[in-house]
Amino acid sequence: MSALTSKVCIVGDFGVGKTSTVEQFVNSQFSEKYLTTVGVKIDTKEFTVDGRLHKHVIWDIAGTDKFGALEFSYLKGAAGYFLVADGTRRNTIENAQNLHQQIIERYGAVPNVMLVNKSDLKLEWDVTKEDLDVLRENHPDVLVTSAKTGDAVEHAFALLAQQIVGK
Amino acid sequence: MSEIDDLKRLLFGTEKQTLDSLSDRVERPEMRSADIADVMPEALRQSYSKGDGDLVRELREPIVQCLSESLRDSPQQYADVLYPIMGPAIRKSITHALRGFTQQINETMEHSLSAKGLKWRWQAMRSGVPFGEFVIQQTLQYRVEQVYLIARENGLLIDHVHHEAALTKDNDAVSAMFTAIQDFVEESFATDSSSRLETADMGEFTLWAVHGPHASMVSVIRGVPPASLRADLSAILERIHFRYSDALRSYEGGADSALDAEAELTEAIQLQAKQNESEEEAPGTKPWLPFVIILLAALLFLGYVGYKRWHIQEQMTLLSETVGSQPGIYLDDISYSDDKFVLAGLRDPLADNIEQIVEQAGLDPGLVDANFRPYRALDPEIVSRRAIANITPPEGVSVSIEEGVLVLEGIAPQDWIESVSVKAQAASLGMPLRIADMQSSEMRDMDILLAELDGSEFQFSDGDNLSEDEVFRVEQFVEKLNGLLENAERVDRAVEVSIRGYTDSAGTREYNAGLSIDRASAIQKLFIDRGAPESVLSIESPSTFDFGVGDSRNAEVFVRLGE
Repeated sequence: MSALTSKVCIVGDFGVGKTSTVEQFVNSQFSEKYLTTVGVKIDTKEFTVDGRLHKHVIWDIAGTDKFGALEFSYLKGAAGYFLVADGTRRNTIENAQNLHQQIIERYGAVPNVMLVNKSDLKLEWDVTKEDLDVLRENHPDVLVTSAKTGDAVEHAFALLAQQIVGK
Repeated sequence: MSEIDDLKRLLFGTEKQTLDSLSDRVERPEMRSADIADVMPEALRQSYSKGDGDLVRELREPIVQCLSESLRDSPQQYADVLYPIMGPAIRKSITHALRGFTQQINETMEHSLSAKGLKWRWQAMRSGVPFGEFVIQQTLQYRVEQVYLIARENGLLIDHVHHEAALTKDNDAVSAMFTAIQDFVEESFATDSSSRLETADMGEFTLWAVHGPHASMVSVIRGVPPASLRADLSAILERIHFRYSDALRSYEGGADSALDAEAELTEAIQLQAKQNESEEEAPGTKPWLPFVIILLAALLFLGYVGYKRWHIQEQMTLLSETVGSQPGIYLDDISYSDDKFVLAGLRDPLADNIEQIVEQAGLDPGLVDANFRPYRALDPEIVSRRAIANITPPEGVSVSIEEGVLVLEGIAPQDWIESVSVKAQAASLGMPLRIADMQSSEMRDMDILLAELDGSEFQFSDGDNLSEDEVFRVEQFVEKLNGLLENAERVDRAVEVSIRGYTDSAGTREYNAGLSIDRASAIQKLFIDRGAPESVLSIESPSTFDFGVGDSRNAEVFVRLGE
């Protein structure tokens, strides 16, 4: 059975856990060491959802203060994308939402899933349940994930794959 | 209005209105045109979507005709439209061509001096192919190892083929990463939208990308590809675009895509330079042999050149020593040019001939080009030659130089001796002249004659009679005396001849004194008779000498030189 290959991007602020999420999904590993991504990092992963084989070519785009033309060019032709925010930093959610708007303006509606990461550090969160509820009103697919424990990570990728197939 | 019309209106009122309207639309051209314009786009769309190609076929000819006429009528308009497309396309094409040319020049330069280059130079020479061309043939060793067909829009890998021996990794990741790099380069450096990443080098691999509107083809090439390969790869990508244009445009990673470009990509993989047979050394051949031969030839050549230079140097030294040491020659410069020795300097016309000197030195005069300007040398030998040439010394005169003085020695006629000083002065010999040791030939002859004649005796038989033999001797005497007198006159000297008569002791002194005078007179008379001048002859008085001694009966003649 041949896989449906899709380009999937992962975007968000500095240090929200984009690379760790991908690493957890692709290699089931987590490293405490923080390595900043330069430019873009590519990984691929094959997995099955609803009996259908998917292959995601994951473009892990480095977090920047300002998402410029180069970063947007990496999103060109993406079948779907993850917006990642950090539960311990409330402003990352706002930034993710802003970015989401810009992507829509540039490339139209593309399947996407928002991940509020670092659920393993729940005690340190400054994002409240109410915040998440408000977020879900505008954004149907919001998942609380942990790149460290792997919580909801696979589900996130499966969800995006379903969106891509069903679009 | 008739009843029938009323009836018609009652029966077909609505239909008639419709019929009138239809008739009106058919009959009025402007109405018909408006109708066709309304349905034309939809009609075209439907015909095209049927996909039987009828519409395309039917439209082709009129469209071509329209375009041709339109182009002919307003070329400028088309030129303006095409300008922004043609410019970049032409630039790109020229850039490609120049890049290929530069690459070829670089390869030629790189190989011109290496060991391999020397071998190729030899092989090129043997086969009569220009070296540059040969290098290009030899360096085009390459193999396309992998080919990626990548969707332009999303960087997804559409297809990938690789050479059996090639190592492949996660091709989807490679494809995506290449696209990311491409995006990066494009965003960061490109000045216009048509610029794309086309080449990347990694050790022995070269990455060449050719780009189409919907897909890029990236080839991983081992070795050095020729510039023409890019055209081949572009042609393959164009074919893929031609065949799968729609599928490429909408490619989204679907496994069920109708796109199957494997055959075309395999074609690209098969592109490789023919292995040059001469590169494959057959067993038993000696690849080093040409090098050894070249080395030996080079050594021989160097040896020959060295020997020739040494030989020339030796000959130059010899020439310099021989010619330079010649009197009357000043050698200023000696050089070797165009297989000839070129001598330059000064030469006195009286010096030896250069050709003779060269020949005497054992060299070929034909090899010498002598450029001498005349001058007046003061070498003793040349001064001596100049003296001989100008004063023409007679035989018996030697010319020598002693301590800067030209010395003439020997015997010469008096008048020559007297004139030589004048001649020497006129000739400006360049040296003082000494002729003090010269003797005139006349004086010498006189001395001889004097020695011979002085003291001659003539025997009387009795009284004052001479025998015939004695008369003959007298004649001989007179002849020589006359010779002496001639010379004496030439050198302006006087000659005195005095005659003594002798008697025996018998008889009286007076008688004998008379006899002495008689005998001397007889000789004097005989001398005069035989031609001697009387003025030089004198008879000595018997009172001045002892005339009667023993049995003497003779006369003695004394010859003296006076002033």
